[in-house]
Amino acid sequence: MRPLRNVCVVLACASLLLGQFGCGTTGSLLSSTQFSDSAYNTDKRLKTDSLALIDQAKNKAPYNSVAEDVNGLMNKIDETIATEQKRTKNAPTVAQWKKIKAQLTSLFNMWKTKGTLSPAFADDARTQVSSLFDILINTENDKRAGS
Amino acid sequence: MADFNQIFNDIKSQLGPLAEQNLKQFAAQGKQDAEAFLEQSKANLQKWVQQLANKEIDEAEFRWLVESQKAAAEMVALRAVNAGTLQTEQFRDSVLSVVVNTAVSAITKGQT
Repeated sequence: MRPLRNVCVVLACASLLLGQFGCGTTGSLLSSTQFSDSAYNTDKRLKTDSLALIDQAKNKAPYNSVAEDVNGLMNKIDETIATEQKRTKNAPTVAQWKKIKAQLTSLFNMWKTKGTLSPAFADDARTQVSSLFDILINTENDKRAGS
Repeated sequence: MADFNQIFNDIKSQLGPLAEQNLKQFAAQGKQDAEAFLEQSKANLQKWVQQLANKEIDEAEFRWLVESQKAAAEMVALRAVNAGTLQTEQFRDSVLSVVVNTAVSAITKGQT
């Protein structure tokens, strides 16, 4: 009986190990991080800050007049990306933040180079940036279902 | 100014082969998604092409706007990744690259 019992123990252990590993792998592929009130509120606050800056471009404000605020905003975005990177299973949100950062960096660099932006462009850029933040906020909101 | 209808005809002519190449098993659905996206983007692109022609915006600004539309599609795809549904979104992303490349190329040619 002893050999049979040993075989059963080995099979049971193997099953447990494989099961745990398999579930963990599947879980990491399919599930996302849990919803965070703090992240949700940060997303909304940085959206408001970004749109407020672009609103100034609509009035043909020179870049120099907003440069300090732009630096402050971009620093906050860097801090937010660092915070998001610490959350587990959060790669899509981190990638979304990097896309928003890239678009804003490109926008502010253009503003800096040209001095001022066309009012028509600033109007459309505001709508586009608002949409990007809305997708980010909706992605965070989706995580409520898994929380 | 660039012929906007021609731009869209060029884009649409590239959708079929792309659907076959990237999403063979979901070709019909993928093409529907791509066309739905194009319809959604069409108003924006049409407006920006007109603004560029009227010199209300310059080429750098036009490019930024088109790139922002591409970024929006990529972010929608990432939202789908977060929810666990990826394949159709990958296709949409590649279609967006065609939209961006074709539209910008046509506009650039139209300006020279």
